[in-house]
Formats: sequence, C-alpha cells, structure tokens
Amino acid sequence: MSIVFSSRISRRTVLMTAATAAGALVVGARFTSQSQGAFPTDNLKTPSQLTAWVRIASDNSVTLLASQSEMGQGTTTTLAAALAHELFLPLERVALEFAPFDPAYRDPVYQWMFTGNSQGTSSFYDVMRRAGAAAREMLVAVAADRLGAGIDRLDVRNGTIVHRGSGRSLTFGQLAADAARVPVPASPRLRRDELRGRRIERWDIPSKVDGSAVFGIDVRLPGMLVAAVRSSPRRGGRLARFDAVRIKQQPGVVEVVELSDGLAVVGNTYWQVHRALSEAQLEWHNSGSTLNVGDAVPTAYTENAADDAFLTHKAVGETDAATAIKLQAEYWSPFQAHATMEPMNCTADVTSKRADIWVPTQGVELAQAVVGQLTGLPSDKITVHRTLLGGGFGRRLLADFVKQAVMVSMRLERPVKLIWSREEDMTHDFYRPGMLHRIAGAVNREGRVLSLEHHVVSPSHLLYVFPRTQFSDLKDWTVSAKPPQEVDIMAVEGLLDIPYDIPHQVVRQRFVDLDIPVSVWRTTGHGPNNFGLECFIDELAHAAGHDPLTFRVSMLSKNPRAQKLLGLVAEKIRWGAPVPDGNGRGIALAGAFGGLIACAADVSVKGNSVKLNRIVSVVDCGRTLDPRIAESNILGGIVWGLSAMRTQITFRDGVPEQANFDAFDPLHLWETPPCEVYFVDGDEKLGGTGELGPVPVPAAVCNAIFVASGKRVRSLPLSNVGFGFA
Amino acid sequence: MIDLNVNGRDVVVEADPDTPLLWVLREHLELTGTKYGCGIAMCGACTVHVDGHAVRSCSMPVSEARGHAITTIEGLSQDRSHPVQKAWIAHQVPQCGYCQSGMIMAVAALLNEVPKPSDADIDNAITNICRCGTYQRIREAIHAAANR
Repeated sequence: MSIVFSSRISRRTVLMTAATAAGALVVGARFTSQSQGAFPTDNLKTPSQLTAWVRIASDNSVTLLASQSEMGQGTTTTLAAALAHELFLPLERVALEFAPFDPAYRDPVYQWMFTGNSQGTSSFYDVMRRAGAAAREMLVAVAADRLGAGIDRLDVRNGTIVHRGSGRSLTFGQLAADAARVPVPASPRLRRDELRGRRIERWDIPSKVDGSAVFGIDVRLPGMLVAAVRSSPRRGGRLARFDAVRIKQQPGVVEVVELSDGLAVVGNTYWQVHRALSEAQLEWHNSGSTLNVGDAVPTAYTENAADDAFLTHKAVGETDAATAIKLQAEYWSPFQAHATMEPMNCTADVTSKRADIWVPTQGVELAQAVVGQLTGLPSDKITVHRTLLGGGFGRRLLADFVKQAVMVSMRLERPVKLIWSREEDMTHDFYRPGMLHRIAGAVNREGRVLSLEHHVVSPSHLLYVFPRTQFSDLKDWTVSAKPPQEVDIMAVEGLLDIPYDIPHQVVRQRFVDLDIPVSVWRTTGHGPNNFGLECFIDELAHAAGHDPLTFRVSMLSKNPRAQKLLGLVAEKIRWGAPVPDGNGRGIALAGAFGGLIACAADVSVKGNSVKLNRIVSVVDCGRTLDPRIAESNILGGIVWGLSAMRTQITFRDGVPEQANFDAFDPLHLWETPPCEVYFVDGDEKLGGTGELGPVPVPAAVCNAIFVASGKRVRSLPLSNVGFGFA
Repeated sequence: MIDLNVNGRDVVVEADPDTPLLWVLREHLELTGTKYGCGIAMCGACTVHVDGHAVRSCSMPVSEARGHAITTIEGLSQDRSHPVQKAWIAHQVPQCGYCQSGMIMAVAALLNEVPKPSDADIDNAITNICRCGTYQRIREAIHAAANR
C-alpha cells in the first residue's frame, strides 16, 4: 500500500513509503549537534546524526527525505531548495519524501524528531546544504575517476557531470551506485548561498488548489474501517455505561471499542459511526476535572500567591525609585484551543508483526514511541507515515489520537481510520493555558524606566512535549511529565531578555497545576508575555507623559536592530500624523523565535466596537530566505494574533464550554484589516517566522485602543472589557 | 439508492438519505478534496457548487442533492486552469491548504454571480474560516481572478 502525493517538485509521484531503489546513493553526513536552547543535552543519547537525507537512484531521481512536516509554513520548500542548489539541480528535479522516524532526523537543538517552535528552517537549512554538497562531491569523485579527469575539469549541471574538455558526461543515476561507496566528506565545500531573497513557488500549493493534496483525513487503505470517538465530556472522566448491543444494531456499525476514557464506534463510513455514537446514550462516572474558568481569572491562579511560591528566573540590578512614578497592573490571557481546520485523525494498521500509521503529525518521534508502547513492537517494525497537515499550531506535536487509533486497530485486527468530530477536537484539546501577569514598574519624569518586575502565574507548557528521552522511566508516553523547573522557561520566554535597557529587572514564576491538559500553542509563552510587557511599557510611557514610540526608542540605545524596526514601523503607520477623535495608533515590539518584530495598529473605536483600519509589521528574522513564504507566515500570524484577542476556552466543572466554531470564533476575511509586512534584512543567525507574526499583535492593538478610547485592555478576550471587532 | 450528478457524471450511491452530501462525496465517491471542518455549516471547508451556487455540503442531506448538478473542487477544472485556481497559485494563497478547496469553490461561485466584486462584495460572500489566516492573499487573488 502506498499513498501518492502529486508534487510540483517532482512532477512525478512522491511515494510516502520509503523504498530504496537498487543502486541508490544514500548520503549520510555526520553533523555535530550543538546545544543552544534551554534544554540540557548532556544526559541525552549521544547525537548520532549519521543521516540519510538525500537518495539518488539509478533512474536519476533525487529524493530529499524530509525531517520536517509541512503544515503550510513552507519549510519543506526552502529546505528542498537548499539541497537542490548544492546539487546544481532545478528544484523540479527533487522529489520530497517525509522521512519515517530515525534518530538521524532529530532536531539538532533538542535531539528530538519534531516540527515546531518555528525552528525547522534554522535547524535544518545548513544541514540540507551540507547534505547536498556532500552528495555532489561524492558523485564528482566517481565521475573524475570514470572520465579520467581532475575534478577541476568537471561541471555539475542539471543532474549531469560534464567533462569540460571532451564534453563527455555521466548522469547522477549512472554514478549513484559507485558514489554510494565513497566515504562521506566530513566538511564538503558549500556553494555561495544564493537563496536569500529568492521567491520560490511552494511545491505543495498546486495540490492544494485542485483537491489532490492528501491530508490525514483523506487516507484510504484496502479493507479499512472508520472510527468515531467520544471521550469523557469532563476531562479525565471515565465511561460508566453504554449499550454495545444497541449501538451495534445501528446501520454500518461493525464494532464498539472501549477506550481508557471513552468509546470508539467502528464501521463502514464515518457518517454512520458518527451518527451511531451521537445517538448512543453514554453514561459517565462522576470523575475527572473540576476546573472552573469563566471570564475572570480562575482562583487556581490567584490563591497561594505567597512570595515563596515563586521561582526566580531573573533578578538583576538595583533601583532607587523613591521619586519615580510607580505603576502596577495585572494582565490575563485566556485558555485557547488550537482549532486546526483538519480535526485530529490517525489511520492505523496494526498486526502482530508490524504497525503502520498514517498521520498528520508534528511529533513523529512521540508517535513512534506511543505505537511502540502500545504494541510492544520494536522500532524497526513500526512506520509513521506522514501526510500533509491541515494545520498544526502545536496541537499535532501530541499523540493522544494516535494512541486511540492504534488501540482500535489492535482490537479489530484491521486498518482503521479514526476521525474526531469538531466537537471532540475542540473539547479534547491540550489547551494553551491561561496566563496571569502581575507587573510592577517605576519610571522617572524624564521617561527613563528604572525598574520592571514580572510575576507570571502559569502551568508549564512543556508537560507533554518536553523531549521524552529526558524521562527514562516514562511508561506511558501520552501522560504529562514535568521537566526540571530551571529549564522550563517557556512561561517566561520573551521576558528574560527584553530588548530594552532597564537597570532593575525581576522575572518570577509560580507554576500552577491544573487538572486539564495544557501544552504549546502558536506563540506559546511569547504571546501572552508580550501582551503584558508591551501594554505595560505603554502604560509607563503614558504615565510619564511621553510618546510611546520615543519612550521605547530611548531604551534601545544598545539595540540598533530593534531601533531600526521601530523607526520603519512608525514611518509606515504614519506615527504622529493627526488622527480624528475615536482613532488611535499603537505600537509593540517583540523578540521571539530568534527574530525581532515591530507591529503597529491603526484602529477606530466607536462605542464597544473596534474597527481595525490597518496593521503594519516590520520583521528582522536574521536573514530573509524566501520573502514570499516569510510574508505569508507573518500575514497569517497577524490574523492568528487578532483571533487570539477574541477567542477563548472556558471551563465549567471540568467541561470545556466551547465545542465548535459557533462559540469559538476565529477571525474571518471581513474582519481582517489591510496588513503590510516589511523585512529588514540583516546578516544574522536565521530566526523563525512561523510564530513570530502574532506575538506583538494584541499589545499593538490594545495600545491603539487606549489612544482611541482611553480604555486600557488588560484582560483578553476583548469581550471581557466589553469590546468586539467591527 | 440515490442518483446524483457529480462533476458532470451521473452516479448512483447507496447511502442513507440523511447522510450529508459531504460524506457521500468523500467516502462513497472518493472525492476527498471537499473537506470536513465543523459539520454545522460554520467554516465552509465543505463548500461545493449545487447548480452553480456555493453550498456547505456538511449540512445538505444527500437526498436533497438529487436532481441537481453538483460540482466539487475536482470538477472545477481538469488541469487547475480555472481562473481562481490560477490566481491562487500565482498569489501563493494556501498555507496548510485544508480550507482552500472550500474557499476556492466559494470564490468561484461569487465570481459567477458578481464577475468584478468589490471588497464589500467579497466581505459579504466569503465567510469561510481559514485558521492559517490567508485572508489577505485570498482578497488579492479574488481581485486578480476577476481582472484576468
């Protein structure tokens, strides 16, 4: 069984299943890992990046085995282009195959195979260049031998190696088998990087305009059944009673399978099993979460606020703020659902001998581990086949739905595609946790901020996604596991290294435990943290009677990159130009995901209605590789950030209160203002653009609302303070 | 047994009459370009044409589709040559792409009715949800398709 993608890169079909062609050159290149994140790597397995990245077969095909998943962020196009460039190949000649799990494909920073944290390109760009260059040098070595010519007399072009003197040539395919026996060069010579600023058409887009793109929900296997699933409405609750006989009498139903906290109904078509499950009268034990979260800050965040409950992440400098203006404010960012357009799904085919799953996932390694945990099969008998992802946003790092599909397929001994309804998806998410910020600051009359103290109350975002190799005794890979607190800094990211020069800074966090699962969500800690930080900086500016733009710039004397962004965003939003009553402009700055971004919003407020007139973002992501892909990430990010000002998930007695897009209402086209995105191209380390765009949006908009209305928004969603988007 | 006309072809499907057209297209006819997103006609991922009009197929029982001409994304053109598809590629609109079949069908129906839509026409007609947030390029591509 194989599923084919139609692919612009290949113009042939790209097989999802790895089948190494005979006589293929499979380039392995050893790359050393560098620890650069917050994660300790010394107690991890020694990195074994002996990696098969590129396969060149005797039929001249060149295949990139992609570590990264494609969810519309464009990473796989850029990475394939980097490889093709080193091989002097047009991108159309490179096929793309999503690699199955192998330690070789682990992200070099976290030593974990996943797609996320906006680091797909920064982690793998140079890896791809070196893999391509290594393959090229191996092919050239064999060609030199066969043609009896020095390598300086050989040209590589379009899949062929040509002897400049005689014109004799050999194709990659003719060279591949012998090249496979050449030692992999340790440090191949890279070509000049010519991809910067180049606009490349994404390989996946043609298949996304004609319906041929294969997402997880589209997978079809011979003899496959379809499963619908219902888990306890109250998170963590258990199923008490159900009438299996009656459910199985419904048309199309083949079997019911009890899961750890719910029921799967399995049958011939989704609609039949969905209907049977909807009509089944399931009774639930009175167990599970009792969390209550309404519009107000939940008590779990406000109780136990004693000073010694806080972990100090940062405390620097001293302040003499006796004569300064002092401010204190509390900011709240609510719980959020990922609400990917494609609901969670997984297709599993498990036998006693092997397990295959087809899944839209960001978390290949976790999925692989979960299948191993459930089946007891060794890793080489398990293959995680990846499809395209209908949205990820962090949700698809997890494998709770993989677990269900595998359990059902094991029970039925048949291939099963398990699909969540939208309601199941929204009410069984691993939510972005609500985050509470208490911020205190002091500013003098000259507009100099003397002190900034953050107290953050938040659960860990990493309970389910922290690289699981860290927990050697973990039996169930889908349960939560607390990382060491000192490296668990996602809840304070963006606060520890703010761009501003402020002499006295304190950042402290209290970890709150909740009985509903929470995890990472596009922007993770950066979003809520920037909302609190940049609104509060604005509050200080207004309190001291200074212009919020010049107030910020005056604290950036040591950060010329940030100054430049603010200068440009101010120019583009026409900062300082007169505005009519009820209008206002706001600005915010963020450093996140290895990049810097300044955002400005122009709004009109009439009564309770906020009209978004214009949003401008200026980005410095180190170097801009593909400006059109980068722009699409930032444009989409602005919409994500605006949606996050309106949506929220609330809980009543452990039950999420929003179950579909009628109650959880992301931004629509008609509410999306004209947006402008500019890139300030430096020559710095590559940053990520996937999650950068949304980070400063809520603060920029709320700062504009303040100017327009005099009302300071300190709690989201906007409806908490009576506002809504026009 | 229900007779349908899908993408210009007469087909017979064996499905319960209350089965939403969406699931008949996806499962019985294997036309998986039409997507399930919400099941309550809120998101538009399942948009198809019924007699040229945009319809959210998750909320139309297959029995009601009988006797009407149904067009799915697979039937919009044979070779991505519909002006909306061409504009979508030229403007590199899709990100994850899951909602885009429905978007494109909604836009194609709009352009049938209003060949040169204003921004206000677009605002009123295109109410599908895109969680990746591709709206700005959608608007640009609609204008481009209209001015081809």
